[in-house]
This record gives sequence, structure tokens and C-alpha cells, in this order.
Amino acid sequence: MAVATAEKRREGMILVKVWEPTVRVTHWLLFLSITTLCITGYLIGNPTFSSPQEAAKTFTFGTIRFLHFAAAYVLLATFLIRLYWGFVGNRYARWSTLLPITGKRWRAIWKEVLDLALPKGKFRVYTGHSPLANVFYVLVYLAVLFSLVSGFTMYGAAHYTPFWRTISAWGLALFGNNLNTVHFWHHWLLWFFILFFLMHLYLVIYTIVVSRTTEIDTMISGYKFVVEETLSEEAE
Amino acid sequence: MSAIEVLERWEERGYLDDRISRREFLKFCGRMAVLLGLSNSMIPQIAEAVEQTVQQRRPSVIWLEFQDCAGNTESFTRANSPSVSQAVLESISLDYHETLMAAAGHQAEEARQRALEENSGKLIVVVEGSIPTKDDGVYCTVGGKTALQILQEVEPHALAFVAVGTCAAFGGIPMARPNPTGAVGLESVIRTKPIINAPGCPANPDVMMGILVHYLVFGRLPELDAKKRPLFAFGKRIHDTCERRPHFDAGQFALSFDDFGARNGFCLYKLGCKGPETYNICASWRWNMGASWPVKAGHPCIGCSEPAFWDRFTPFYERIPLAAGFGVEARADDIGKVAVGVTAAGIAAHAIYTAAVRKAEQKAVELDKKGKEESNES
Repeated sequence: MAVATAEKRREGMILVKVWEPTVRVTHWLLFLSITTLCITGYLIGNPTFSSPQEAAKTFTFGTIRFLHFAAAYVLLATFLIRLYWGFVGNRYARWSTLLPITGKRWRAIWKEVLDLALPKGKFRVYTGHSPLANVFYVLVYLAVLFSLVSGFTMYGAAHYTPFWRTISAWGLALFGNNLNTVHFWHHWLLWFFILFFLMHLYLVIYTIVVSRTTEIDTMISGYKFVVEETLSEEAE
Repeated sequence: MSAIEVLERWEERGYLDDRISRREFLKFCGRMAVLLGLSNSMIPQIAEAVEQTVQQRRPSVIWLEFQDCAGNTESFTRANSPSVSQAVLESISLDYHETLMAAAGHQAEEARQRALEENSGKLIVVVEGSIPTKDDGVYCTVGGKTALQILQEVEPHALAFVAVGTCAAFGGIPMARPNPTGAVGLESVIRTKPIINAPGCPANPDVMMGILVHYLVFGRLPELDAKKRPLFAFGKRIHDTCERRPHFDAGQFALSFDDFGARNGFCLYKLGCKGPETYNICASWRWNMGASWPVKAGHPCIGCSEPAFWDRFTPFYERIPLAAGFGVEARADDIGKVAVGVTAAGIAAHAIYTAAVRKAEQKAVELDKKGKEESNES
């Protein structure tokens, strides 16, 4: 049961606190770091700028790679915090809520897919994430984990201390001991994140427009309007 | 005998035998010290160890060739100090080498047998070429014995194995898809004895020499990485020792083999250079007495010393492998762009569809209201 602390009500809806500060901060850190990583990552894979001046006077590509690595460390820290918060946070943030581990959850996912494909009548808004969103967020965290592992394997390959040697040897073992295979899969993740970003943005706007229950600043303020019946249903 | 005494003796004598001058010999020892990352105070010790080896027959080496092109043998005979390398080779008693030995046929096989028996337990076995395992290994036989049988015979007598070339180390080109002979690297066959991999296509001759000299000087094998390659030669990526690296950091790339970038020695990253994925000594040590190496000559690295390079580093002129299974093989980014386009179109279609459905619903509600009002009126 969500803590219905706020008094604010609107057309049979109640304002509840859903997202804790940790969840909100990690959400925006994920957004910023992944955006930086995607842009710099694309440029690393497809450098399109060749300046003809002396190599000693310019460090363009080096700077881009530096930004990529710096953002990767931010992503790593954010990922670890969010991973931990999935065990201690409120029910909307927990892994036990996000993972599609029961048949009931899979049926809810299917129902939501149908609702999206055949939009009619009232659109249900969940207090936390919707069942379909839960699945995709788990996929996103898996993709983040995969990109961190493959990324730091490549990073470690260029850093010749015993620590990084060990890290990259472990990572390489996961990819058939071939660094080029690591590059290949790491590159593919870029497109996963771009596709996810498009759909995520669309579905957030869709939910706002269709349901009129939630607001764009939910991930900033942490509060969300929820239909009272939904709250009591979810509490069961 | 102290190091100084060794050098003084060399000073007096001037040459080791009629083939090797003092100058050439000490140059060789100096190069080996640099290669192995040793201080120059170690040069006399190297000189002493190599000299002793040349004068007394020390460890016996046999060189086995299996599925190979003899390219590593070719490479070895073109080592930086050919005469010294030759002398070291001969003195460490190359008892069996199909390409180099004088004997042939049954005599040759006898020589190998004798080497095994006389030097049992002290034998350094150099293997060149991959080992076929399919159909009991019938795809490579020497003197009626398969490669597998020969290795089984040799293994108990060996002190250590040195796999020279990518084929012996990782299976190499014979192992490339579809691998008709079931070729494998030495590591999959030899279980009980230490293995050193000196991959490369071919292996750098000085790396092979370095392994032998390290053994002669210290009596043990050099430090290895996770893929059993000596760290002195395979400790760094080509990318990190490359002379074109400043152009990489500056964002200056050759886009084709005849453009401004190529003529000005820019980075070959966009032409598919596998330097960032390849560990080898090429960039710092080079080939043919330091004359050149592929990237200096203007060609991207193809990663020939990495496992499965023929399958996983191809196409050689693409940054990353193409994705199979899309009718034709395609670049990841091309597929990604299409996927983004399709998704955006799908989103637009869904938005329009939703708007239409909602409008129709609204209309129905209004009509319903209107109908009710009308019926109320009547």
C-alpha cells in the first residue's frame, strides 16, 4: 500500500508519493550517462571528423573517448546504487516487483499489450511501473550490465595493471576470448538504448495524454495521481 | 666466470667461430636484453649463457610441423641476427626439423626417435601448424603417424612445448570455418606439459628467439598471460604502441587507401585496423631488423596473432564484424538506423490510430448523449 500522505485530490484521484529520491536521482543519472555514452559511443564507432592540422595540437577523439569513459564510471556507480536500492527501496522500486516471476504478472503484461494495440475505453494507470514497463526496465538493467561488462573488458584491455588484466581476462572469457567479439556486441547495445529511448518517451507521453492521471514531473517530484480504486486493488 | 670476464674474453678472441663476429654477437645479446625487458647489465649474462650453449650441446630442440605453410620456419631463418640465431639453433641441437634437417625419410624419423630417447625430459618441442583431430587425425600424417600420435609419443619426453604461429597456438587458418579437418591448437592436445604460445602469422622470429634465450639465461620459461603468450612480447596491444596513435587521439583517419589521410600517415582505424584488439610486438619491435611492419607500410592490422582471427576479425577492412542473418550481411549501424526508422513509423502510426479511436469514441459518446437528449425531448 502506497503511503497516501498527500492530501491533494483531483477527479477521484489521489496524489501519492511513489518514487523515492534515490530512484529519481538514479533515473536521471542513468539518462544523462547513457545519453552521453550513446553519443560518444556512436562517434567512437563512426568518427566522422578528420581535422588536417598537426596531430600534436588536437585531441578531439581522445576527448570523446575520455567523456565516454567518465560517463561509464557514472553509469557503473548509478547501476550499483540502483541495484542495491532494488532490495531496500519501497515496493515500486524493488526487484521482487519488477521481475515477471508469476503467471499473474505475465497475464497483466499480455493484457497491457492488448490495451496498447487496441486503444479504447479507459487506460489503466498503475501506481508504480506498469507490468510491461517492469519487463522493459529489467531488460534495460540487463543491457546496462552487459554494456558495463563488455565496456570495462575493452577498457581493461588497454590498461596494463594486474587489476585491469584480471578484469579484462574475465570479461574476455565470456566472449570466447576475442576482443573483436566484445567490440561487436558492445556496439549493438547502442541501438537497443536508442530504440528503448524512443518507445519509453512515446509511452510516457501516451500515458499522460490518454490517462490524464500522471504528470510529466513524476520522476522529478516523486508524486503521482492515482485512481483510488487502483490503489486499493494493488494493495490486495 | 664473471660477466666482465666473459666480455673480456670476447674482446680478446674477436669472434665465436668463423661465422659470428664479436660485434654481431654482442649486438644480438643487447637486442635480446631489450626484447626481454632486462637491464643492460644483463647483457654479459646473456652472452655467457648463449656462448655456453653454443659450445656445449645443451637442451635439445625438435621442431614438429603439422598443418602449416612452414611460414614460421621461414620467419625464424630470417631472424634479426641470422648467423647468431643459426648458431643458437644448431647448438641447442635442432635434432629434428623437417624443413631444415639434412636427413630425410627413415633417417629423419630415426633422428627424432634418438633425440627423444637421449634427451628425455629435457626436450623443448617447437610445434608449427595446427593439429587435425577429425577422423582420428588422418588429415596430417608424417612418416605414417598422425599429428596426434606424434604428439602423444613426444609429450612424455618434453620439458615444454612452444607453439609458434597462430595455427599451432590457436588453430589458425586450418581451424577457420568450416574447419574440415577438426583442427585445434596445441593447448587442446597437450595436457601434462607447459605450453608457450608465440602466435602470429608468422610469429616474429625474435619472439621465438627471446623465448629460447630467456630459457637459456634463467633456466625457466618467461612469464605468460592468460592465453599463455610471453608477456614480454604480447603484453600490450598494437594500438597502444602504434606510431599512428597520435592521429587516432586527434581524430585524424584515413578513409580510403588513396586519400589525404592515407598519404599523411593518419590512423587506419576506419579502414578496419584491428590494432585495438590485437596483442603483439609488431608496433614496437617491427620486422626485418626493425625496417617496417604492416601499419607503417600503410595497411591496417588484421589481428593475425589473435585466436580465430580468420573468422572473427573479418571483414578485414571493416571496423567491427558484419551481422549475418539479414539476407545479406549488414553493418550494425545500418540495421540500427532501419530499426529506429521502423520504430518511429510505428510510434507515429500508433499515435494517429489512438487519436482516431479516441475521437471515434468521443463522437459515439456525444452521439449517444445527443440521442438521449432527442429521445428525452420527444
